[in-house]
Amino acid sequence: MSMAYPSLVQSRSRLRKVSDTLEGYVRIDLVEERMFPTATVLRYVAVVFPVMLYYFQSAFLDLPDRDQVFLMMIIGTAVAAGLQDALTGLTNRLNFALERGTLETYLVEPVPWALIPVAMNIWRSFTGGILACIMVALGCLLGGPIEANAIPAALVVLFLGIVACNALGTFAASFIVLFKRGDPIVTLYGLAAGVLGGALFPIEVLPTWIRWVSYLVPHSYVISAERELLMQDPPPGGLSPLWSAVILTVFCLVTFTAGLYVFDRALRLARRLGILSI
Amino acid sequence: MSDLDDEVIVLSGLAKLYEPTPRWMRVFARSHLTEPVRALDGVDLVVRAGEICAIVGPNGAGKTTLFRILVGLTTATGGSGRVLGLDVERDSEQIRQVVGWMPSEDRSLLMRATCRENLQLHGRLQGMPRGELAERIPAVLDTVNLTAQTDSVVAGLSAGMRARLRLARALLPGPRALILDEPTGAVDPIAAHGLLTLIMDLVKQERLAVLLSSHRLEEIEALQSNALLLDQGRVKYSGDLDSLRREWDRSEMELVLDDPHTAYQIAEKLHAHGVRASVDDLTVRFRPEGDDRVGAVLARLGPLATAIRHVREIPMPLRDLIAQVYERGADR
Repeated sequence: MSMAYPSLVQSRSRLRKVSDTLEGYVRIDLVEERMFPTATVLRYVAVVFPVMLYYFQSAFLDLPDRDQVFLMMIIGTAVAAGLQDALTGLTNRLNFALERGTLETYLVEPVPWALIPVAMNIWRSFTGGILACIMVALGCLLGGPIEANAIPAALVVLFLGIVACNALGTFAASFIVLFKRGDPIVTLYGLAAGVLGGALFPIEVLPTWIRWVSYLVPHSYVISAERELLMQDPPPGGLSPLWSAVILTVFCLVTFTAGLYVFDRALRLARRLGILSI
Repeated sequence: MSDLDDEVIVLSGLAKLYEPTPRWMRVFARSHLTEPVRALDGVDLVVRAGEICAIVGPNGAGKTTLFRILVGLTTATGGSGRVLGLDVERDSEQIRQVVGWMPSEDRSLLMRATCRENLQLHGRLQGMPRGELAERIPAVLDTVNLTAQTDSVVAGLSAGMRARLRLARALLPGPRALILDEPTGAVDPIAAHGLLTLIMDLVKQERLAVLLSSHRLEEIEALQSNALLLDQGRVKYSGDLDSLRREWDRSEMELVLDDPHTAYQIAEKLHAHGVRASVDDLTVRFRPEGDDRVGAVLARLGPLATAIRHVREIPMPLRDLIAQVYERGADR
């Protein structure tokens, strides 16, 4: 024992802590994926069905621009599903850790607490993005024509959307830290975002007063930009992808800063009240 | 090295008053706290390198609050706490780097992961380099005698093995202080003995400072540790168990006689001198009152003393000793 016992615990730079924390949490997620392999596989298999649903629905409606309608619905649904993972991943993980009693173990690790919401959601956000890509790819295989040269730009917009939803997730995480339940808020937001973001239709369909609320939801910009980029004949009236990307970037900066600040304050209050992790 | 250099955990007048949950928060979730609760009230404690200190107290005494302050899960409202010179309030993150924390529940482990995976995850979050981690994991699993279970899934391990894995996780990065919350809680007595022997060996070999809580008083006695007796957040006793015994132990005396008749006579004589005694066949048991010396009590028996075959001293069990401190002890 003596030979193997380290003489002193090493100190680390801030950057090292950040990379160790992100790697550590991704590793936890990978282990958890391996813990329940069938659940992991089924999660990816499940995306086949919404694609088939919208494929047959567009076949049933038999509109003149059937392929474009199908692609419009697939892009909207894929983005909404991908962003939903980024939005709910953190609250689900926090709830899970609270219920299982592992949150206390995470909190007593020597890592900056403000980093935990980001680190906890990295893997889930990444797999959410993959699921969105798989759905669009399946749609393409079923005859939805996409603009292949716009794929890199579409991935950048998707990434911005995922970051924006992570930022919103930190608000929900703050709620969980203080009140132990955050899923109702996230579920409500997720369902509202489906409508307000225009997952199955362009938001121009919505009445003007609702459309104003849509502009506050990052889903609207991501879905609109993805349609503009990937569809040959996107719905009219959408913002240019560049403008959507700029708005999303500003949204990410503001919301992430505010979200991490609120999360930090929530942790401090919970720590003072003695309700952290219980 | 001076005593001051050896001080690892130092608490000075540490206090914690849990505030009632603010009204605005109660709108969102039912609160368990509507009145202020004083969990710790001026706790002083020093744990030096190579020492074990056992925190003892009934439920609600403040043990968990004390541990939670040390690892930064809650804040103190008064006094100060330092671990290796680091302030518990200001340097919480650094303290979590030098303290090994063993929570009381198995739930803190990833149950469907293997022992190796659990340690890898913890090691990476502790910032241990991959190479060092690869060497350290087998060493620490060997220390806790879990080498054969290295790649076993935690859910399949016994309670004793899981407790040892929790200890391995606390030891992994080589902390200078260990905080063990009921380390033997769900472990059978034989496995608990093995675990405590291991802790004692580590304390001796690595000069670790150990703070632990346990409801099993016989274990605390076996650890030859110092004790901090807490009651409603206040220190009832702080010091080593030998001093506690010297100060509070009123051993029971057992007199063995040749016949029951003499035993009854001696018991009556003791009663006559105000000493409570009980008779069981050939034995008489009594506890000297106050500062009464055993010799003085026996001298009062007169010629009956010559009939005594054996005199035995029965030390007070630690449980009774501590109960006495709680019942009669003045606050220190």
